[in-house]
Amino acid sequence: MSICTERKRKAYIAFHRGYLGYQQTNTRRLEKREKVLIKKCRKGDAVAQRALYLRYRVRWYMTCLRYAPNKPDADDMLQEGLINIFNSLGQFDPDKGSFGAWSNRVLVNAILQYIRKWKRLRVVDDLEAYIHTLAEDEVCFARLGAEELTKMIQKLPEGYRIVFNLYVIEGYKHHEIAQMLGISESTSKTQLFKAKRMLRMKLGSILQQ
Amino acid sequence: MKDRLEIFFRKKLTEPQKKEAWNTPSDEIWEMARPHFEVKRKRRRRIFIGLFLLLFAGIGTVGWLLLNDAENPPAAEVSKNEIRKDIASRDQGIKHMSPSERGLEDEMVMESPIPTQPMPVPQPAPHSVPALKSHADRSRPIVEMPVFAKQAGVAPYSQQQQRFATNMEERIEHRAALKKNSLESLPPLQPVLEVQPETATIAGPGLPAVKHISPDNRFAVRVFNVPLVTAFSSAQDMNFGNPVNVSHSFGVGAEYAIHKHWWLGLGVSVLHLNSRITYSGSQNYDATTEYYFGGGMMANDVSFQTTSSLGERFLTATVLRSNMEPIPQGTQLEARLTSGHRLTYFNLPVVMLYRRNLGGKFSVFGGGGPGFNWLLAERLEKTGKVLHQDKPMEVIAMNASSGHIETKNWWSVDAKAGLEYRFRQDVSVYSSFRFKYGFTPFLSADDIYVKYREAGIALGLRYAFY
Repeated sequence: MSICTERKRKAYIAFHRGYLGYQQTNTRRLEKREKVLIKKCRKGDAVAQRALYLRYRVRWYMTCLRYAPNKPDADDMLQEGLINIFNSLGQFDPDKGSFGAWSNRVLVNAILQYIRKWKRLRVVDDLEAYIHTLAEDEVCFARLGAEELTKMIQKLPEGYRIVFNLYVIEGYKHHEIAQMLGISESTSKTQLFKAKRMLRMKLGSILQQ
Repeated sequence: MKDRLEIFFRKKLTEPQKKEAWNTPSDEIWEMARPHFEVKRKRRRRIFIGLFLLLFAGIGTVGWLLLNDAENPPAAEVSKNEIRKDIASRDQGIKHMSPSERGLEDEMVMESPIPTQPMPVPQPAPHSVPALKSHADRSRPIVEMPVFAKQAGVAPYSQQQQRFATNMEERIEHRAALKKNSLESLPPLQPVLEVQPETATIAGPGLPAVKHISPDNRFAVRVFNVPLVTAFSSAQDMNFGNPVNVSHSFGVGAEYAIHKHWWLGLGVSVLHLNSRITYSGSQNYDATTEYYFGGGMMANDVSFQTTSSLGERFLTATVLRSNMEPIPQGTQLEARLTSGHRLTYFNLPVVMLYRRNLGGKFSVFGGGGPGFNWLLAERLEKTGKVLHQDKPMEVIAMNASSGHIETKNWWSVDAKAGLEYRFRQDVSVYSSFRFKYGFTPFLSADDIYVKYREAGIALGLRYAFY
């Protein structure tokens, strides 16, 4: 096949599929592959489990890092979360939503369970006591990427951090957060307000620019 | 409405990230987590297979017995007229006489076809050698019924142990009562010989009872009510207060006799479990956790906790103070918190029972089997007070964390033994000791196996389709 013919063929395919159409086909193919992986995971296929883990590990770990004050805690949370995710794969219904969203919900529940088990969730009001912890690390302002923002969230007091994550990142409502954490709705609102105030203190000048 | 900060953080943290050192977990985490869910799967599968095999074996046995019964269908309904004709055809030429007519006041006429050959007529002897006369040639008087019966090889009435119907109406009634067997297969001279009081179902006139198990009288239904004392336990320490668990079970069940003494039962019941725990303790007040609640009130989430023994439920009390007067850091607070936890389960037990009659109206039974329990509803009750220097503080309802329930669905094994009293032909009342052992066959999120034990006295009513 000559180069010219090959180019024509590719152009023909691109024309008829359309770029968007091609992308959709590709996404569908990936989803299909994911479904096969999940099905194999349910049967206990170790290779499939590993493949699914490698696919989502960055996303899952980032969630854990946001909720944990440090890396060792995030590691423990991820371990608990993995056990929960793979043990409850049978409950996942692909018609109700994506695996990514479902697994994230399970992971967040496992994280809250972990916090409840090992630590007592302390709803903190004394802001000044924690200000100095942020002031120590000025490096985060140099480059505001996900890593730096995660580190900033990690430095928040536990109550602030969890409420902030649940409300801002996961998108839960205040009454849901109150139910999940066993606190009142007004406490949840207060904690979020104060978390944002702390973050704004550091980010304020940058955001206003 | 989201502000700029929220949008900024959300956008930055939810967009797909490249794999970098800081956001990639080490392989060690995976290696440590993997054995947990692999072992669990195998264990759960083994338990499920075992229980399903048991269930299928039970269903198979019942099916096989039902098929066997279908091969021998019960005889069609026989009308009393047909019975009358049948008896008349069997009694051809025989005159029914009442005992008084025959001068046998205390005897009864046999309900059976009696030989119908014509009565021998005495003939004059051809020879005059009495010694050589054959038995048939011997002269004999015209005999009456009892003697005639003797010739037919039947024992004298006075020596007969069994008593039979005396007149046609009673005989018809008797046959009608035995309609489950066809008239052809009914033994001509022995309507009933085998008598077993413990499975007695049909009592004909003059008959004590008939052993007769047929598809029509193998079924029984029961209603039961079981107040119990229960205990959940797990490897996790749950020593928050003193749990007092009370349960109550109410249900209905059906039983099917697969053998003379063995009954297979299936039940449906609702099981209520109540756990009430009172926590009494003191704690130093932590002023740093205080916040403004609104309306001139200060609030503090005092971290007293009670945990129901029916599952993981942490309850915390929020203390409100209507005045703004500060409580010094470290002040001792006394708390009395009571938490009630009520779980309602749908219980489906399969039981195999051995039932034996004691000779009279009493029977003993015992047995057991597996069951499954589904959580239907859960309710939490929270009351309590917090004291500051013997002065009660205002406390709003405690908040329960939404941690999962350890005992959502669980398997159980029942064992029971009891006494049954039949106060009517088909209705009996029973009481039994019941022990239930429940377990979750898989590890919970906290790596524990929850176990459940209950013991109680069941009271029930049983109706058998005799």
